[in-house]
Amino acid sequence: MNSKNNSNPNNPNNSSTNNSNINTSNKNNNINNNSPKRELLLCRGTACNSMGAINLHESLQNALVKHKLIEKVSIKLTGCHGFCQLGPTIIIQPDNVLYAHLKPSDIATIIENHIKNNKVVEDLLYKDPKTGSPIKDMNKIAFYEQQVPLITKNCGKINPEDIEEFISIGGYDSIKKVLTEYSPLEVIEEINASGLRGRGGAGFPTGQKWLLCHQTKGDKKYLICNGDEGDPGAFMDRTILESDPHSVIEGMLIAAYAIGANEGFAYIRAEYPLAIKRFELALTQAKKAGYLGNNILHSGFHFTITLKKGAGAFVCGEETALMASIMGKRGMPTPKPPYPATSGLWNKPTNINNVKTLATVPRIIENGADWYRSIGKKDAPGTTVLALSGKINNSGLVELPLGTTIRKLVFDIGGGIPNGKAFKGVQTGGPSGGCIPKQYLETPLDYDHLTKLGSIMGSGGIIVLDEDTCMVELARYFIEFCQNESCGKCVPCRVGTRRMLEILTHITQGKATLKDLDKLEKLAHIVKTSSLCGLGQTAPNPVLTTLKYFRDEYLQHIRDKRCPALVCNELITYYIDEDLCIGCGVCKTNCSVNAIGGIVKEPHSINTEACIRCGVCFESCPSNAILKKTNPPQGR
Amino acid sequence: MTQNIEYKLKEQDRRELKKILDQFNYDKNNLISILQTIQDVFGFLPRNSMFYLAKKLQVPAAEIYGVSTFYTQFKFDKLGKNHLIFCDGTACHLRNREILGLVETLLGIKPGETTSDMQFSYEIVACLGCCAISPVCMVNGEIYGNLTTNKVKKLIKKLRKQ
Ligand SMILES: Cc1cc2nc3c(=O)[nH]c(=O)nc-3n(C[C@H](O)[C@H](O)[C@H](O)COP(=O)(O)O)c2cc1C
Ligand code: FES
Repeated sequence: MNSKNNSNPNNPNNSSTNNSNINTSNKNNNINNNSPKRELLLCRGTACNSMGAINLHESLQNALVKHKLIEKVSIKLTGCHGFCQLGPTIIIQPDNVLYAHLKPSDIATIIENHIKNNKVVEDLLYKDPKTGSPIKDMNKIAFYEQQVPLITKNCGKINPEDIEEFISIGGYDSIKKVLTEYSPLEVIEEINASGLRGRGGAGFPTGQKWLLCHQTKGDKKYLICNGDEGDPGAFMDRTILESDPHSVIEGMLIAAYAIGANEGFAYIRAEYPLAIKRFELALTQAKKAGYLGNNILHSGFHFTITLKKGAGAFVCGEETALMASIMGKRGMPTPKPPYPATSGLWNKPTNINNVKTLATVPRIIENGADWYRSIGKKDAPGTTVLALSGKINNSGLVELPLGTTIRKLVFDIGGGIPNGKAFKGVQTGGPSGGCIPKQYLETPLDYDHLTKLGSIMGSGGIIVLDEDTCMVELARYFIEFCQNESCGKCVPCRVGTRRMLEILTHITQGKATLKDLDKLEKLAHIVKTSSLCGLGQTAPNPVLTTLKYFRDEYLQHIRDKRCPALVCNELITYYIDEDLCIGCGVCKTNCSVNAIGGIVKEPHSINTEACIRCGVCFESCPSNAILKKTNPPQGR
Repeated sequence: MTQNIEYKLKEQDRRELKKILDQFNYDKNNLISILQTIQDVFGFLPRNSMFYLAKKLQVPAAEIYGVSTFYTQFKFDKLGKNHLIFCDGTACHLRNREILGLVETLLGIKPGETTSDMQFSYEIVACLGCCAISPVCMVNGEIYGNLTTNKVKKLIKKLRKQ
């Protein structure tokens, strides 16, 4: 527990991870707590669950009963508050104290010190990765300090399985306001005035999209919430659906009222079982409370929502493919026009919005378009929810005003790169996006700036890359993904991505020539300009951006048969440093092909002929004596 | 594919299928939901169940097969007792090289295969949506994060014993 955060030698609490000598005596740790009633917020998101939040809940309940604290302390099960990496966590309110990486055995300590004696348990606090000092006020944690929670305002604060809690903090007030004070066109005007742009990737102005659908004549219209979130490295929509499903439903209600739809679908990918469960429950509760169904709030407005589970196809995030999937067909995109606004589901006018777009809508109605415009940038107002992961100290979900710089995201909020490694760049927009190198650290994160650099904002996945990332291999990885997910309908995407993958694979194996590089570049442009849907049109972006910013790495692979990041299997060899090897034999036992020899307590060695470079020995060596090398650079 | 071809629908299976079709109003627009429910019940899509659907929904069996093979969620073979899904999404990919190699070695199968003793099925997907605790895997519906080769070894050992 906390071993990572405790590594700073200046931290006085370093040695005491044992409960009995936990440091709680510091007099600064006293809390002035006059209000006896405390609330313990226990995160029950997917990540915290997987790290033991379920057991923690049990221990907590038992402890409260045992110490007869039920009257004084309440437990609140919440969704995710973003900093998943700290899980499982408990936040104690009103003290604003966050305890991280908890084990059931820590509960007794927290009860005894914090709850009974008003003393913060320092050892269980989050510790600043730079200074090693524990942070008592959770708002002072750099990860939270700079965020502007707007879409994620309720995430981690309310119990997502209880509609009453949502209502008690003003939930469903916006739809009430809309149904009593606004005509559909007035809603559209407000959204238009706010400047809201779609958060699903393309950034199309939401008000305009609604207007198109509103203006199309039709007896029946549909509204779809796009919760497919198929791009790897993205988990914003999952978190929102899990932590605040009612905000999404409220957004759908407002959108449906504006365009004139009575039937809605929420398309959520099957890989998100908890999101599906919570959204389903939210639908039932909303229906029971009269926010869904016939004659909503006695306004004469009808609206129902059906949940559709995705079945594992990335292309189904594309709107025409998504509609095909809802209608029970293969998820193949169709050419646009016609746009969904004129002919969508069952050829009826249909409007599709992303989860985050819809969750923003009630906030705009609540606070007004001017308020929304005051956040973010002039041409791109509001906030963006980003999923920060990869080689970064603080990974999790963050919400920032559009236009925040990459530097601020990576180094202030993200806390920089772990293990003292060098920062190499960020990858934005998933397989449709690109890699932005470190010289563009000051670039503001918004639609236009990222497009200018050849990447896209996408839905908000940000993967941080360090010196150990091979850019050629990463480009190969994304093309492989797109090639796998190509629906096969159009030739440029189906065949083009396959040829690109072949060339990239050859490069990573050291088997390519400079001619191949030209071919790759040419192909990339063809696929980009002639594919039918967004999948193919954007698939070459990771290749094109890495070629543009990291061309030298490609050249090293081709000319020198060298992978400078020590990633590409065919171009590296493993060896044992005799001075570091303690002869424990762990590597030998773990090697599946018997490529390691040596006697106990003597330095071992690797037979490079037999080695399949699986890397298991490298990972399991207790003394870090196993190293990798590649061919030296050739002088040129 | 072999088990699947051999799988004959029993009377009880037909009753089960009928119940599912009733639930979805024999509406072919609900085909994907119907297939998902069949897979929930049977653990995979028996070939004969697709012929059955074709007859009842009055759509060509080829169309049903076409839809079910389009989506990676659908399985045409019985899965092993433990369903291991390892994430190879971007965040996990940056860190899971050793882990994926280890799983193959420990189980002796490639992704998409099931061990001959029907204990393990092993699959690779792109992103389970838990990138903040990468590398990640999902075992029988439960997420395991911050994986290391050591943790994976222990996990598989534990599953073997159960
Ligand atoms: C290959 C591909 C995958 C997509 N995946 C998603 C997705 O997972 N979620 C999403 O909201 N939009 C996705 N989109 C964008 C949608 O087509 C659509 O633009 C979006 O849902 C519109 O919502 P918005 O206006 O609120 O942004 C994808 C587009 C393409 C081409
Ligand atoms: S990349 Fe593995 S969970 Fe997202």
